Amino acid sequence: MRYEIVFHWIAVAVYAISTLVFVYSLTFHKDRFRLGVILAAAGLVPHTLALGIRWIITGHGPYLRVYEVYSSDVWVAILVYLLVQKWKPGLRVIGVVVMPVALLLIGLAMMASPEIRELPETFRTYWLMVHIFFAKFAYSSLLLGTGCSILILVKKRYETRGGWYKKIPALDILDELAYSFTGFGFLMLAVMIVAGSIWANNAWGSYWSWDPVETWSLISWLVYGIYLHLRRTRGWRGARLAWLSVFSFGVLAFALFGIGIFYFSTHSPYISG
Amino acid sequence: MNSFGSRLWRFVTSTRLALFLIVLLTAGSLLGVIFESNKLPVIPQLIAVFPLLENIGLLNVFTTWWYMAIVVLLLLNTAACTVAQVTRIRKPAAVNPDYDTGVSWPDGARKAKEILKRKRYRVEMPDNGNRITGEKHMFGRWASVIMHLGLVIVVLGAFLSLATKMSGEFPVYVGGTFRDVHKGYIKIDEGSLFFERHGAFELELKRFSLATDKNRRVKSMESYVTIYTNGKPVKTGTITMSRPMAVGSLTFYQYSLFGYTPSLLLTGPGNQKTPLLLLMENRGFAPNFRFTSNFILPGTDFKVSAEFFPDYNENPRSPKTRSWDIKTPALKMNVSGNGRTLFAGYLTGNESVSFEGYNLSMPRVVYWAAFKVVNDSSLIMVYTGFWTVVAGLGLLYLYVPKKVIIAEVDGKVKAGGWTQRYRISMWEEVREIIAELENKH
Repeated sequence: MRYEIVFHWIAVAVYAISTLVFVYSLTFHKDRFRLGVILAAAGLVPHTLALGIRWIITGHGPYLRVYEVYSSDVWVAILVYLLVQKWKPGLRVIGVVVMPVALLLIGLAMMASPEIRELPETFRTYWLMVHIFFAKFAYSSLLLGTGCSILILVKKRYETRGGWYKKIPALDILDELAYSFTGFGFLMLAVMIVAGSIWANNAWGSYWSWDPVETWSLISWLVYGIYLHLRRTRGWRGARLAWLSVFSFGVLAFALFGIGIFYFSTHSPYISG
Repeated sequence: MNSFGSRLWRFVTSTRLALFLIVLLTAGSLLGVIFESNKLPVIPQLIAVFPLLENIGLLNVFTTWWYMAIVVLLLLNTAACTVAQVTRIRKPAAVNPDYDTGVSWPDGARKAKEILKRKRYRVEMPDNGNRITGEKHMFGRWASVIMHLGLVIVVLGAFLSLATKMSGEFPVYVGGTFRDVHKGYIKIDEGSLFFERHGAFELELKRFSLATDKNRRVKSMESYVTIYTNGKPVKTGTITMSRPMAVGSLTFYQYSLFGYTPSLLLTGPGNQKTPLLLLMENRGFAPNFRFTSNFILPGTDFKVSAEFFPDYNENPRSPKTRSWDIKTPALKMNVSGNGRTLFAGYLTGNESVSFEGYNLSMPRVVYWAAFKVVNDSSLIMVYTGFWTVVAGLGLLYLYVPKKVIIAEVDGKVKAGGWTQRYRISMWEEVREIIAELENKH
C-alpha cells in the first residue's frame, strides 16, 4: 500500500511538471510541447506501477471508488494521448488540454480515501469489464475530441499572433480530427451503455431502470448525437461546433463527477467516496 | 412532386425534425433526472408554488404521455429517415476527376491500377474504357442505415417489453417451495398486455448461504434451487447474485435476504406439543437489518413481540448480532397476557424458556430468501437492437467507404476521390496516389 501511494505521488509530481511545461508554452508562446510529452510519458511509468500494485493488493481492477476510478481514467487518457501524438505529432499541443484535466483528476483521486473496498458479488462479471473498458476509452477519446475543439477556438482567436499558434494543425484538419475522436468516443459510449445494460440485467433483472447515472449517460450520448448530426447533415463546422463539443464534454463529465454529489445512484457507492 | 404526400414525407424524413426531437428527448430526460430523484430541496418548494409541475408529471417524467410521445415521434422519424437513406445509398456515389496529374494515358492508367490494388481498392476498368474506378469498404455506406435500424429495433423492443414484461419478487424459506400465484408475490409488475399465466412455475429452495464483509454488509448470497414447471422438475442448480438462472422465458435472480424462519415448539399443559414456524421479516435498511414479528401463541391469548438475531452477541456495546449467518441464533421476546408481561428475554437454540405452564424451544432456524423472477420475451429484441446499433456505429467510424476515379481527359490522367466521411483524409489519399503516379514518392 505504501509503495503504491509513493508511486502515485511521483506520478502526480511528474504530471504537474508536464502541465506546467504545457501552460508555460501556451502562456509565453514557446514550443516546449515535446518536453511536456516526454514528462507525461515519464509520469506514466510510476503511475502504471502504482495501479499495478493496487490491482495485486485488491485482487480486482482499479474501478471502485474515486481513488481508483479517477486514477485509472487519467492513466488511460494519458496513454491514449501519447499514442495519438505519436500517430499525429501535430496533435502534441492537445496536451495543453489533456494534462491539466489529468492533473486535476489525479489530484482529486489522491484527496479521496485509498481504503480498499471488496468487490461486490454483482461486479464479478465480464460485462462489467467491458462496460468499464469502453467507458474509459470513451472518456479519453471524447477528451481528445474536446481538446481538438479547444485548439480550433484558440487557433481562430490567436492565429495572427504567430509563434507556436502556427504549429497548431490547420483548422479543417483539426475539425476532422475533432469529428473523428468524437465519433469514435460516441461508438465507445454506445458499447459502454449496452454492456452496462446487459450487466444490470444479469444482476438485477432490468436492463434499464432510469437510474440517474444511466439516464445521464443517455443524455450525454444524445448530446453527442446532436453534435454528429449537426456536423454530418447540417454542415456545422468551426467555432460553433467546437463550442458544442466543449459543452457536450461538460455534460458527459457531469455523469462521472456531478451526479454522485446530487443524486443517489446505483453507481454512487462505487464512483464516489 | 408538390403533393401533400411528398411534402409530408420530406417533413418526416427531415434531419431538422430529427434534431428537434433529439433535443426534446434530451431536455425531457434532463427534467426526468432533475425532478424524478426529488433530492434537490428546491423541488418540493417549486411544486408547492406551481402545482402544475406535478400535474404534467414532472415527478414521474419517464412514464408521462408527453415523454412517450417524443419517443414515438423520434421512432417514426428515425424509421422514415432510414428508409430515405436506403433510397440514397442505392444510387452510386458520384465522383469527379477534378485533379490533374501530369501523367499521360494509358501508361498512367496501368500504373494507377497497380497503385489502387496495392492500396487494397477493388479496381474496375471497362475494356477500352477511359476510366478506372477503385472502391474500398463500400459496405460501409450501409453503416448509418444499420445503426438507425438498430435504434428502431431497441425502441420497439423496449415498448414491447414495457407492455408484455412481468417481474415479481417473492420470498421462500429453505426447505420451502414458492408456487407462482398472484398473491404470493411481495411485489409484482405486469405490462398491460402481459398474459396472466400464473402457476407457470414452482421454486424449491434447497440450500442457502451468505457471506458478510467486515462492516456486516451482505456481500454474497447463493441458493441451490429446483425449478418445476407443470409439476415436474426442469432445472436444478445454483443462483448467485451475479449468476441468475434461466428456464425458458423465465429468469430467476437472487434478490435479497428477506428474513429468517425459526421453528418453535410450544409445549403446553398436558405435554401438548404445537409446532410453530415464525416468519421474521427484515424491517430495517442495510447494513442495519431488523428482523421482527408480532404474533399470538397458538391456543393461548399470549401476545408475543419478537426480534431475531442470527448470531447473537451479548456484549451490550456491540451490535446484537455479529453477522447475518445463522451461528448462535436468539429470539428476543416479550410475551404478555392477562395485562402483564409473562416473559421478557432471549430464547436461544440451546435453552428453552418457560412461562405460565408453557415451555417454548427453538430447535431449528433457516434462512428466508427473496428471489426475483422476470418473464420478458422481448429482451432478445432489445439486445438485438443494441448490438445492431453498435455494429452500425462500428462500421460508420471504422469502415469508411472510399471511391477513387482515375480518368482520361484529353490524353492526360485526372484523379478524384469520394468518401462519406473524413474528406481531408480522403483528399490526402488522392494526393498520395497522384504523387505516386508522378513518381514523387
